[in-house]
Amino acid sequence: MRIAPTNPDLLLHHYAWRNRTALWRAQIAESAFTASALLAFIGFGLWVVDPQWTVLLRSDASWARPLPATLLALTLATLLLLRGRAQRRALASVERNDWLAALPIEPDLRRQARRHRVALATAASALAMVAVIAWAASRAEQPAITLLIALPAGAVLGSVGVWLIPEGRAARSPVSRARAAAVNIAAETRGLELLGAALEPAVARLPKGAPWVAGSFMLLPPSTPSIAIPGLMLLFTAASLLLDLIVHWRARFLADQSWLAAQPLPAARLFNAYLGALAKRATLLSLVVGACLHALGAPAVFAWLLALALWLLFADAVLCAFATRLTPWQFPMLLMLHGAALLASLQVLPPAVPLVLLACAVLAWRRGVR
Amino acid sequence: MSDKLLEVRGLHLRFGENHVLRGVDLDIARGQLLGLVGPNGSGKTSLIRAITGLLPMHAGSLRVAGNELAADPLAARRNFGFAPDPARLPAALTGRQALSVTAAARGLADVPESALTLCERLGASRWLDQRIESCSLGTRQKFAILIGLTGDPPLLVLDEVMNGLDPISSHELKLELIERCERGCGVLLATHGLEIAPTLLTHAALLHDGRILHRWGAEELTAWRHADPGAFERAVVAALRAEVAR
Repeated sequence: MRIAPTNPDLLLHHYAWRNRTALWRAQIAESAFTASALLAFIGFGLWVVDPQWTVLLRSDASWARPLPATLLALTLATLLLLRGRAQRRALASVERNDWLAALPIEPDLRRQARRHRVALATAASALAMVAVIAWAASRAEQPAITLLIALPAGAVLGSVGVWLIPEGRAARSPVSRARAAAVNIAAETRGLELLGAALEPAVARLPKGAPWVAGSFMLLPPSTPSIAIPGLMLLFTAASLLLDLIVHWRARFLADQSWLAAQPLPAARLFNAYLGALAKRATLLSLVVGACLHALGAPAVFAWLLALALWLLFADAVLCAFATRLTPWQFPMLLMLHGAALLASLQVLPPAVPLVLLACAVLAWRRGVR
Repeated sequence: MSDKLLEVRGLHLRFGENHVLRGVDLDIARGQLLGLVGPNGSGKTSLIRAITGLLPMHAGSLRVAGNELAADPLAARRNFGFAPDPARLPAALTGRQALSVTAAARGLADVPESALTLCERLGASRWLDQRIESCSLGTRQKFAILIGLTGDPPLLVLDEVMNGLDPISSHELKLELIERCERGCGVLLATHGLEIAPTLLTHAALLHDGRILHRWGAEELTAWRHADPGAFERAVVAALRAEVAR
């Protein structure tokens, strides 16, 4: 086997990518289904935000004037730069202990590989942004030229900057971070309860997904009264926090399931061990959301119904994770399918939504305990 | 070229307030196969990780083939091979690809024939083109060993590499290590397998609570090899019991 003498890190990622595409080709039906589901999801997202483009890109908007547009571009570039820098430092921290760490590789080579990988990922994000802006420009009526120039320019500037800026000092190593995340569990906690108890305090270190909430205002229809905006932002924030909780719990659940696999432990019992911690946090968050919505002026019934809906959606997502415990890669797909079923029933026959939700939950539970 | 492949002097290592290594001195010359034994938590893996530069030492000096690790890590690393923890191997790559990356890291144009021959001897050839994540623990261990031995570095640093190996591979690995030592390499082997000592090791050191508690030389081990193969195990246990009683 011939190999070109090249950067070992880049060679590693070249091989990993080649293997991944080979796997996609080998599982062509599943890959096609996942790609279709993803495209459908993106299509749905674009359809939902379509009426917003005209509002966001209108030429008479205050943010379309040259100075605010320039500031927007600079903010976008700075965000991309900061994200790229943080990613490079996180990679450097991981690489200090990886399997290549004891091999005689020039530090500059590893630095170059990190720069290459992060710059490529940033360029891909920037390209996606430019594509969305181009799509938006084609859909909006009389879009502001300033924004159409400034936003892509910011994205390009950010990705070029990621290539050019120095890496800076590496972040704390994952080992020390793991130690920092070590938690005290009450001495009286016993048995499987320990699994749920270990989950609880670490969740306080979340949320990582919260930044996407910043973009969620695009989902609001143009006719949304300004009074409703804080309430909706609150809902999005809560949803983001709950999503982070699921991601964190699911990783723990799969890991615990793996090391307890040889024990005579039914899947449902293991699952139940976490429910207390999950329900506590989800209930608390839902109550806060309900109370805040009511305080913002929403009628009590409406506020508490929304809080209940949030709780039920969370429960369904948790059940999706349970259902795919043996095939974890199917989790996003199942979540999307449930989401699509609920949205469809909401559009076609709103009174059927509780029934659809119940059906989804029952099916997921039965699949999980199988 | 220096006869000493490894010179460790006064090596101190701590995690916060926990002192893991307390002034370790260790030498390995060409042709020596030194076994590092000791109870769980005595600091064997930490010592190995400090020697390979994966953990920063807090005091002391460390030379590999005359190259100071702290001053010139690259030169030091060119002179040792380290078998990484099998759990840290790149799961998405095949064994052959991992060897190919290792060869590139060592500046080789291709996976050396010697690595592929050893792979055959260890019985891992049939798994060479499988993704590592689909391999058993024993096969991953074999790939980790092959990564450590690729490029024929003069010093081999191996931590519990016999774990998970089947009898044939274990036997072949021992033969390979002995052959390499006869060719002038040095080996540092951290192990709990005291039964392998009489047939494999030329030297041994007992690590306890971050200190070298006892050393055994070639004469003692050779004498035991012929007269009483169980003597090394008894000597280690006696030294540890005496230390615990103190």
